[in-house]
Amino acid sequence: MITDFVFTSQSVTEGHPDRLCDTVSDAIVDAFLRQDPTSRITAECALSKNVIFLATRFASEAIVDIPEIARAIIKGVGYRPKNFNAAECTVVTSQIEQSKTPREINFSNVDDEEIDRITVSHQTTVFGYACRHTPELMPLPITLANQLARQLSKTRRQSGIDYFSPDCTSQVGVEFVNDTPSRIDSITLIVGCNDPDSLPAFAQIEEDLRHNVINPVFRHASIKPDNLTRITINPNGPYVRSGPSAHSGMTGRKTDSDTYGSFARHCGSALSGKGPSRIDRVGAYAARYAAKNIVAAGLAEQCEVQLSYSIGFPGPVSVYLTTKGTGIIEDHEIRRRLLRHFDFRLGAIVRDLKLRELTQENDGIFYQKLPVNGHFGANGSPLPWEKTDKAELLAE
Amino acid sequence: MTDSVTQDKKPQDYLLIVNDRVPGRTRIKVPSLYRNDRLRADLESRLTVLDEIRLVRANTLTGNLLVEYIAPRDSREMPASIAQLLEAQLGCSIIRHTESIDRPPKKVIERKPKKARRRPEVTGYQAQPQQLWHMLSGTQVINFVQGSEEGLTQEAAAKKLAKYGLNLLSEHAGRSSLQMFLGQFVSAPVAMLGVAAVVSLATGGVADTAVIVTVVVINSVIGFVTEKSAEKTINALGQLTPETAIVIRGGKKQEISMPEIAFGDLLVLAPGSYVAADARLLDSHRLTIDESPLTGESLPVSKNHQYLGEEDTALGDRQNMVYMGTTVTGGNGRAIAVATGRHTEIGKIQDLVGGTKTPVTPMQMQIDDMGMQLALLSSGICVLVFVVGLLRGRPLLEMLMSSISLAVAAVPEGLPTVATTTLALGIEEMKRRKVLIRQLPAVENLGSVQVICLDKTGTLTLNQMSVVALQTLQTGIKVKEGGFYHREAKVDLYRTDETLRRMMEVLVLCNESMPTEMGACFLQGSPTENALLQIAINAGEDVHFLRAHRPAVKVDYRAEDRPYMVTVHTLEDGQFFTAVKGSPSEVLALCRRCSIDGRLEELSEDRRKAILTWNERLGADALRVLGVAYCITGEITGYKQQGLIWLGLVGMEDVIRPGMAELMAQFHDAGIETVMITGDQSSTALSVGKRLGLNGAEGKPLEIIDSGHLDKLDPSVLAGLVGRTTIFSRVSPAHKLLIVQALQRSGKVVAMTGDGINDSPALKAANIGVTLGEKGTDAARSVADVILEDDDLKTMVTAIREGRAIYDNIRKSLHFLLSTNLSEIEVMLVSAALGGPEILNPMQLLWINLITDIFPALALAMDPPEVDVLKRPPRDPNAAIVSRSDYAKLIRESGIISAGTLGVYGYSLLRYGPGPNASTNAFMSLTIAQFLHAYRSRSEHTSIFNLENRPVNRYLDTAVGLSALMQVLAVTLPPLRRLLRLSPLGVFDMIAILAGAGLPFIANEAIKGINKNTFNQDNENDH
Repeated sequence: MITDFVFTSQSVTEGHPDRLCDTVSDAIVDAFLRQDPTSRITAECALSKNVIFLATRFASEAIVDIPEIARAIIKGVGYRPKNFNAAECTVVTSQIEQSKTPREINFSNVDDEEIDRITVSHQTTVFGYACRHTPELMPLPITLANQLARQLSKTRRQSGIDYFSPDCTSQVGVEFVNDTPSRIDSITLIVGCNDPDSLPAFAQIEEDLRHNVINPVFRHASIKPDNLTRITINPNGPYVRSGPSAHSGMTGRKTDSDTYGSFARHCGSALSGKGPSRIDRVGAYAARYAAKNIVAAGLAEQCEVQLSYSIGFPGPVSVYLTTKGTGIIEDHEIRRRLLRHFDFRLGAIVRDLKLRELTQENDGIFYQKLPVNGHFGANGSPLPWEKTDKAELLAE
Repeated sequence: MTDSVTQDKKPQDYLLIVNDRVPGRTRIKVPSLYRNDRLRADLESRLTVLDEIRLVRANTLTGNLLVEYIAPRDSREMPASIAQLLEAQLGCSIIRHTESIDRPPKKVIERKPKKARRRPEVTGYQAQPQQLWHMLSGTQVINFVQGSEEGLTQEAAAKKLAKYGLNLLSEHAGRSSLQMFLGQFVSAPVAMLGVAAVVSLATGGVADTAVIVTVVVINSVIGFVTEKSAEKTINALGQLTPETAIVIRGGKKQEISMPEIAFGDLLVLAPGSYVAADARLLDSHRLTIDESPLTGESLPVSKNHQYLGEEDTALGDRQNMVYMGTTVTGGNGRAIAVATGRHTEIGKIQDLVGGTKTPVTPMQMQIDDMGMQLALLSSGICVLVFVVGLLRGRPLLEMLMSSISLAVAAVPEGLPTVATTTLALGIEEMKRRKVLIRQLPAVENLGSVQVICLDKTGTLTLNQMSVVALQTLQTGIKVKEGGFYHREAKVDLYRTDETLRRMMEVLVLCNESMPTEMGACFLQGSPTENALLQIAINAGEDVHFLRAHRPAVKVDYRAEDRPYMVTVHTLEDGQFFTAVKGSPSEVLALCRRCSIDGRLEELSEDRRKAILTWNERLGADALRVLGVAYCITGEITGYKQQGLIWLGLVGMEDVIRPGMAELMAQFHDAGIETVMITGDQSSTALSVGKRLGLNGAEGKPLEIIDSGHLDKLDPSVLAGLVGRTTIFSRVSPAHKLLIVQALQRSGKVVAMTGDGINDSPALKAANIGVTLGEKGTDAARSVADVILEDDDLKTMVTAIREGRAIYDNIRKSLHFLLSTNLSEIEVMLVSAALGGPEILNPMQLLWINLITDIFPALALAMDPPEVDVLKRPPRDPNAAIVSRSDYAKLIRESGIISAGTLGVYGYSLLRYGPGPNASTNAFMSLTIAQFLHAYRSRSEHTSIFNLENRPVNRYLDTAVGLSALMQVLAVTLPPLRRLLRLSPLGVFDMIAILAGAGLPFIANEAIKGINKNTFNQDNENDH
């Protein structure tokens, strides 16, 4: 078995059209849940030069001005009007209104029997993963790539460096020895530039990025770039055109940086744009919740949990997990304990993680932040599926 | 609207190649050619000299120059010699579309100024002085026309009118009645009949000649009468110029009738007004004019009185001139009339074009073509009958007579008349139903409309606000048709919630609107204020009493930094009552307490949140929302310290007109897509769209395009997007044109409603521009194809039904005429082939032509719309009016009719042998079969076997009844019988005739039923 290797993961910033579409989709989810927590909503977004396409299906009491939300989000990202003018763009919406089903009733205090009646309406196999690379129990490569991306956005907004466009990408290569991260192999940053006419010299860009982006990210990291770390900035030259005018975007095309940076398996379907009644979203959260608690309980160095759902069943038809030989007890035993303490039925996940109430509890904005801040592993925001409150139960 | 910079960039310094795709043929746009006859002659003479040139044609109306030349083998381009000559002559370079037009202009070669051409005098009036007005300054113009800044005096105007004539476009007398009547005789069938008459005379048949002359006269009279009335109807279309205009005379603005506008009058231009004469601007402010009647340019052009033109400035670029027949789309100005009546540009065009021609629609042209082809075909067959007869050894003269008669009977000479008459009758019928047709092609387009674009405000809604929702912390009230509903139950407002009483008091007191009559709904104020006052009146508040007892001592109106209105009133106990209404969030911020069923309670955080959620929900539900609060204090401005008491939210909306949802369903049933265009935000549009049922009965997704800047979108992208779109939100009126064009690009026949000045380009571009009668501005009315006089969109359904029915009826008449004529030909062909005596003699053929062709065909043209006409999808606009399958049907049906007639003839031959008896029976059964066939032609969808689905056509019943009576007279009246050489009928003959006529009818109807069933099955299989 090869245990020494380099693994790369990549991420994009808030203004990348794909990520922007994710944010718009989740903002629409928030807008519905804000008015009516029992809404069922699916929102998909596609973005191209001067046009935004939004396809929504919903069963809700809420009434939402969808184009306005999309415009507000895009405006907030801060493209120069030349690259994308949120006020002038055309928004094409396709709205299908459905009627509510028993799955959409309010069931904060329902009993077991009722949860059994809430069956999933999508077939999916979802994965959750956790490992000891970082304090938040995430794989190191994606964590660093995401941190770099967020730092790029933060720099653009806060450090007065305004030649960055909102659309940048990052990649981090981590060298593993004995399956453990040992050093940073490479860092690649591609920075879109806002105004090609006032672009500073390359040396200035490099200096700004090192000083404002790379250094802050690694300041408290246990593994820092060394002399041999290859740092590449704009290998093809700076992107003079960026954002939707240069490339189109679509919801659900950045699922690997949303999840584990391909370090573990992930379900191909999008997380963003789906309300809490969609098992392909909430199942991924539940699986991560389970995996993280297993690692936090000290039962294994890493753990991947797999949940398979079939239409018509309230819970998973298969629960599988692997610790890849790092478990201190048998995987069978871990699964036994998992099934005892976790309820993976759709209704139970929504109830236990309070997925419907999160938007209202967080002043009306919750899901919208996930695409940029990260669905998993973010340490700042209190995501319910990142809690390790069941670790003790599992450890017993 | 183009700004002045781009207009300056559009100079006359290049020649644009419009089209050179055909080798040896190039069309070039020469701007200076426009209205320049001298240049035309010059160019034509110089170019024709060149060896390469085959043909030169310059058009002073379009400004285009067409050059045909011997194309060089190696290139498609125009030979250099021509190009050089043109460039040298005109001093400009030739460019293609793709080239940049920013080339530096070559030096313009001096040309002699045009001399004003004196027009030949045709009236007793003097010609008006002509100048290149656009080159003169305003003062110069005033001096020249002897006008003044104050306008003409009444006396001066009268003098000028006497000198130069009234402001009337030359009235072109159409064809005179006599011309039209004589025209009936100048036709191929009549000429042939003339030959026939001569032949009969030569053979001694004086009676025959008399019959032929009678037939000709009757035919002509009928033709004349129908054509006359049709032409009158059609020529009346489009004449919708306003009758008056505003001018300044003697320093005073006044409205005078259009013909009274004199040379030198000062015209006042305001948005929507019609320019009454050609005039030089003296003053203008952001003036834009729709010059499409003159130039065809659909976008309005901006005008500026300070502009000074060159002598060769094209008409469309003379920014300091306005022209008769155009309309003001924006801004205002004053202009001095420099040409009136037939001296105006539009008057000259009318002179040039040679008066008003009756317009011809594509369908009419198609019918004309078809008629011509069929005429040739049937003439060919007549020749065949003639030849075969001769070969069979019949006498030459007899054969000549009978084939000429056959030609007269069989040639479908009535086709174009039928189409024109049907259109005219349809237009009259629509007028009775309050649908005013302004363009002839609109009639047939109405039948093929696939998409109808509807303006939300004013068309779908009433364009007035009404309160529809009241929301206190305790109760939510819905208001429907003046009644109050709480959870679907009608309630008494004040018994439900005490807070509502306070709320109504505030709405009465804090209100700028004044009721003009006690308790009546005549309110003076803004729509919002009126709506609020109206709801209080509905709730039972006495406005006068309340306002009298609580006089206002202080009023703070809404302002930029204060999105709410505050009024303070004195109470009887000396305290002050403060009433506040305005932006819910701002008003809420001023509140500290709230009223729950009349009790005062603390306004907790949860309650604030609930109020904001309600606000968001009402706002998103297409409502305009206001927050209402009050307080009672000891001092006038006490409310600021004490804080307000929250009462509740009021939601208002522009109410949808009654019956609109049903109307949308009717459109959908008729296979017509509905598209709503609105300036509202998307959620408002969605809510309205849902209530209207725009997504159809199957509930397909409502696709909304939300854009305030549709012009920023690539037209091809827009065309790709519009296909499924049901709503356009946040659209500015100017962009409606883009929507119409995009829909047309995606292959749709588009109807568009609109009544504003801004709508006119879109109305013009649409296949059917629809304006609602009274509300429409002159600009909109002048470009609309259809005006709904009763101001009711529901009439549009009538218009579409009539439009479809007219097209159907033309098809029915065609079907009838073609199939019956075919049957005559077939019978005669068989007769000729058989040899022996003719089955039908010439007199009988003429009789058939006279009594079966005309009246039933005209009656079919007046067939009422079929019951399912609005359940069918619109017809394919590109489909031929008589398709290939129709021809097959025609041959089949005429074959069956002929078979019936021949069967009777065969039976009679066996019974009586060859002679008048057999001929009589054949004649009788063919004629009756044709009458019956008129009923067959009434529908392709229903037959006599399902009569309950057919409306009654009294005209047809009468026509057939009268014709049948004539037929009976033909066999019973001895003179007629002799003329037609008929023999008396026996009982068996009658039975045979009825069978020979009736059985084909039943057979044809049965086949229709079978075909229909199989067709339906096919359709079901497709799904």
